[in-house]
Amino acid sequence: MLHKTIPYPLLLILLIFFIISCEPEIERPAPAYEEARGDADFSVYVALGNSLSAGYADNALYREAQENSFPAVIARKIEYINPDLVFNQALMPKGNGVGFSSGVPLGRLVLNSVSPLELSATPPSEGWQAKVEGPVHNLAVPGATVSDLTRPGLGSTQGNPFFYRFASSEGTTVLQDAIALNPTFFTLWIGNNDILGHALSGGYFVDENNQLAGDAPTPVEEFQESYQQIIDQLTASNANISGAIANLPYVSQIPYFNTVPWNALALDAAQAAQLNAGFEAELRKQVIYQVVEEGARRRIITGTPEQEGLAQRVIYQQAYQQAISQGASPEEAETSASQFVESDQGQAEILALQTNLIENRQPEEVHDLVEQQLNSEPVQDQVNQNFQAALQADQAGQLEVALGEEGAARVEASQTAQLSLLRDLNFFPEFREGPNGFLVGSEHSPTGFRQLTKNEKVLFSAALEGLLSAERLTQFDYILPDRYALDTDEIQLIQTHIDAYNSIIKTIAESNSLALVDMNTFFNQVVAGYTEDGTNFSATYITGNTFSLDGVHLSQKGYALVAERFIETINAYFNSEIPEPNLRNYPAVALP
Amino acid sequence: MKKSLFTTLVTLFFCGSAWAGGYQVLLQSNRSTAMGNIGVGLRPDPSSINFNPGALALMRQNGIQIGANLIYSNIAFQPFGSNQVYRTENPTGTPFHVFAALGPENSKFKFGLGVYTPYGSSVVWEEGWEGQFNLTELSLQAIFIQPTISYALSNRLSIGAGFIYSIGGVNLQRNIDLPFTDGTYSSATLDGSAPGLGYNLGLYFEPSKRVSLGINYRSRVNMEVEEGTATFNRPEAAAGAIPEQTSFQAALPLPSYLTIGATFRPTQSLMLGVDISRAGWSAYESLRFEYEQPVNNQEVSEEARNYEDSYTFKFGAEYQLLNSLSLRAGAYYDQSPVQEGYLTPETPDSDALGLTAGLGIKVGQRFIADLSFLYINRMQRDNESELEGGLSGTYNAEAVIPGLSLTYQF
Repeated sequence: MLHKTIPYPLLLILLIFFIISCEPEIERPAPAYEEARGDADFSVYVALGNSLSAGYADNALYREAQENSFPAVIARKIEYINPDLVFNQALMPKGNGVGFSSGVPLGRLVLNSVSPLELSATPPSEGWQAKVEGPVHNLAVPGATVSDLTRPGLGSTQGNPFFYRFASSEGTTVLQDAIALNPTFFTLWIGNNDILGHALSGGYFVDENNQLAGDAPTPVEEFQESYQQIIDQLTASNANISGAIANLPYVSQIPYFNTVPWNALALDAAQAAQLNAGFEAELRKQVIYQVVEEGARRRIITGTPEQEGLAQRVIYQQAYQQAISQGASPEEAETSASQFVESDQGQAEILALQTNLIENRQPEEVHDLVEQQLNSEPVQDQVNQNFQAALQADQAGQLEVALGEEGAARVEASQTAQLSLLRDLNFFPEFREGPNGFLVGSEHSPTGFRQLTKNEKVLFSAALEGLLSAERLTQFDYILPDRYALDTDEIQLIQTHIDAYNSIIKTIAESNSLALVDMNTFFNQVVAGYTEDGTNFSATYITGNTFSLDGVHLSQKGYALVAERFIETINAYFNSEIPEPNLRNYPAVALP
Repeated sequence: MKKSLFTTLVTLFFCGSAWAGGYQVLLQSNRSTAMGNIGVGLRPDPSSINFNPGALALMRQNGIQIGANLIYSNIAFQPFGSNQVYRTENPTGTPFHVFAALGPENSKFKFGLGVYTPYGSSVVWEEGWEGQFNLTELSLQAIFIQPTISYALSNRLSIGAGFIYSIGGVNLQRNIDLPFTDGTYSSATLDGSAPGLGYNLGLYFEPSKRVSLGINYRSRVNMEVEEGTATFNRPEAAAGAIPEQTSFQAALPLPSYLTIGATFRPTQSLMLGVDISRAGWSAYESLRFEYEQPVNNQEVSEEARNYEDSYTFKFGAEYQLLNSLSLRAGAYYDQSPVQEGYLTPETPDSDALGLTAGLGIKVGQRFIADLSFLYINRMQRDNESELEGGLSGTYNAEAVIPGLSLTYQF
C-alpha cells in the first residue's frame, strides 16, 4: 500500500505542491500535414509582391506592421499544419521604419488629432539602410512594378532601397533570390504600382513648364510580358510549384481618393450668385473680344470704305495674272482686271470668295493672308481699342452703341450658347447654395479649368499639403491644380488599365494552374461595407478598420483580412486545410 | 475521450476542476463535500439550513458552524487553428459558510440563520489573450442570508422553510478593439451590486433508524443590477461614440435547485447516501446589458446563453472508525448546463466527475472539525461558437479545493 512506503509528511508536501501547481493542459492531436496540405506543397513558402505584401503601412515600412504582413500571417497559419515551415522577413530595426515622401526618407505617420485631421511624420529608424542577412522568404519590395521583379540591379545602390537591404548581390533580381530558396509554394500580388503612380499624380497634368507630366501607366503588352516572365521563371525552377496570385483592386476606391469630398466648397446663396456673376462676366468679356476680333477679320475680307477687302484684291490679282498669261501687257492686264472686278461675274466671284473665307476659312492659303493681316500690330492695336470701347459701352449697358445691333445680338447669342455648352461639359462652373464641386485645372478644357462633379475625386495630397485649408477655401474661385484631382476620364483610363491587367492575371492563373485570389471583387465588397467575425470593414479613412493613415496601404487588421482571403482561396483551390487567422488579434488604426 | 487510469492519475497532478456547472458552488459544508456533496437526506447539522431546512428541527443539539474552502483553479484555452495556449491567473476563491441553529430545549421548533455563498466565480485571463474583447476579468458572487424556521411534525418527520436575502455583486471587464497610440487597448468595466430574494423549503423523514430521506427546493434568485456603473477607457477621438461613464441594467439568474436524497445505514458505523439534484439553468437565456447612454450606437448589448436544466448525481459514504473519527469519501457526476457552441470565457463549462475524501474529527464533547478535499476530472471541451464575435477553441478548466469547517454544538 502506498501509505506504507511513503511517509505521511512527504504525502502532505506532495499534496500542497499539487494544490498550488494547478495547470490544466489542452490535448489536441497535431494536424496531419499530408492530409491538410491537399494538392499543394507548403514545404517552402516565398512571398512576392510590392508594399502591400511587405506590410507597408502609415506611409512607411516598419517592424511592428511587417510582423503582421499578410504573408507572415499566412505563414504562421501554414505553420500550424506544417511545424517545420521557416519564414523569414527582412525586418526593419525597431522604431518608425522608413518610407519616402518625394524622395525624403521619413518614418511612419502618426495621428495627432482626428478633428481637425492632423498627421505628422516621424523620424526614420536608425540604421534602416543596414543589410539584412538572409534567407529572406518575404521578398516583397515596396514600390516594385511587375517588370521590377525581373530587373537585374534592382538591389544595387542605384536601385530600390528596400530591395537593397536584403538583395543577395548588387546584380541579382528578386526572382533569382526567390528561386534560390527552392520554393514549393508562392503568393504573388503585383501590378498595383503599374497604375498607382499614374493615379497618385492625378492622372496626366500640365506642369509649371507647360509640359505634359504625370506617371504613365505601364502599357498593357509590357505588363503581360513582364508578368509572364515571372511565372515562367518560377515554373522553370520547379515544375510542380503551387501558388496563389491576386488581381488588382480598383485603385480609385482607396481612401486616398475618397477622403476629401469633391464638393466640400460650401457657399451661401449670396456667395454663389456673386461667383456666378463674376465668372459669367469673365466669359462675356471673352465673348465680346471674340466678336470684336471677328468683326475685324470680316472687315479685312470684305473691306471698308477706306480699305479694299482682301477678297476683292485676290480676285483682281487672279484676273490680272490670267490676262498676263494670255499675253497682255501690264497696263492692259490692269485694265482687264479692273473691268472684271466691276463686272457682274467679278462681283459674284468676289462675294463667293468672301463667303467662303468668312464661313469656312477657305481657301487655306488665302485665309492665311487674312490671319497675317489680323495678327499684324496695327490691326491688333485697333482690335484692342475697339474691345476697350466695347467693354466701356457694355458696362454702361449700351453695347449696341459700340458694336451695332447685330454685333450686340451676336454677343448675347454666343454667350448663351457657349455657357450652355461649357456647362454641359463641366468646363464652366455653376455655383449653388450649399455644397459645390471644386474647380480644378484641366488641360482638356478651353477655359483651362473644370468643375468637379459627383464620382470625381480629390486626392488626399490636397489636404495633406494644406491646399484646402479653411483659409484657402475663403478664396472661392480658387482653382486646384490638376494633379490633385481625378476627373471622370482619368478615372475611366485607370479602370480600363486595371481591367486589362486583371484579364492578363486571370489568363495566366488559368494556364498555369495557380489559384486566383480575386482582390478586385473583394475590395468592391469592402467598399460597400463588409462584416467579418463581428468587425466592420469599409474603405472609410480611419474608422473603416481596413486602411492605414496614408490612405493607400492597409492597416494590420486589413492585412489580416487579406491573409484570410488568400487562405480561403488557397484552401478552396488546393483542398488544403490551412486555418484562418482571428482578425481580432490584429489592430486597426490607433486613435489619439 | 477515454482516458486510461494512468492518464487520470497523471491528470491528478494537474488538478481537478472545482465548482459545479455554470457558476454554481457546491461547497456549503465540508462534511457534505467530503461525501460527494450529498446533504439533503443526511442527519441534520447546522448546514442543513442550506441543504434541507426541513431537517433542522430534528437536530439533537444546537450548533454553530463556520467553514470555508480554498478554490485553486485555472482555465486553459487554445483557439482552433493555433498552437498558442492562453491561461487564467485566477485569484484563490474563498467561498464560506456560517450556520447557526438554535431552538429551545424540548421544543418542536428550531430556528436558524445561515450566511453562505452558493454562487460565485472569479476569473482573470492573462494579458492580451485571444478572447480579451469578450472578457479579461470577472468577479461574481452572491451571498445568501437565510433566516430559517423548522418544525418537527413528529420525531421522524419535519419540515422547514427559509427566506433568502441575497447580496450579490458583479464586476466584469473586457477590452474594446480600439487601440490607443501606445498600443494598449480601450477597455470597459461593468460593475454593479444586485440584491435578490428567494426561499428555501425542505422536508425530512426518517422512516427507520437506518434510513433517512429528504427533499429540498431552493428557489431561483434573480440578481438584478439596477444601477450598475459602466466605465469606459477609450481614446478622446472615440468620445463621440463611447461615453466615459454611463449606468446600466442587467440581470443574472441564480437557478432554482431541487434535490431529493436518501441515506442508508447498513451497519451502525457505515452510512451510504445518494442525492439527485436538478438545477433550473434554463432560466439563463441570455446576458443582456441595457445602457443609459448608447455605447457604439447601441443601447442594448445582448448575447445568447441558452443554458439547459442540468442534473447532478451524488454518492457518498461515511465510516465511523472511532468515536472521534469518521472517514468519508464520495463522488459525483455533474452535467454542464452549457450547450454546444455556447461556452464563454467567464464560464467555460463541461460535464465533470468529482472525487471527494475527508475526515470528521470530534474534539471533546462539543467541537467537530470537518476536513474535505475535492478533485474533479473536468472534460476538455471544444467550442465552435454560435455567437457573433464568439470565441472558438478548446477549453480545459481545473482546480483543487481543500476545505475546513468547525462546528460548536451546545
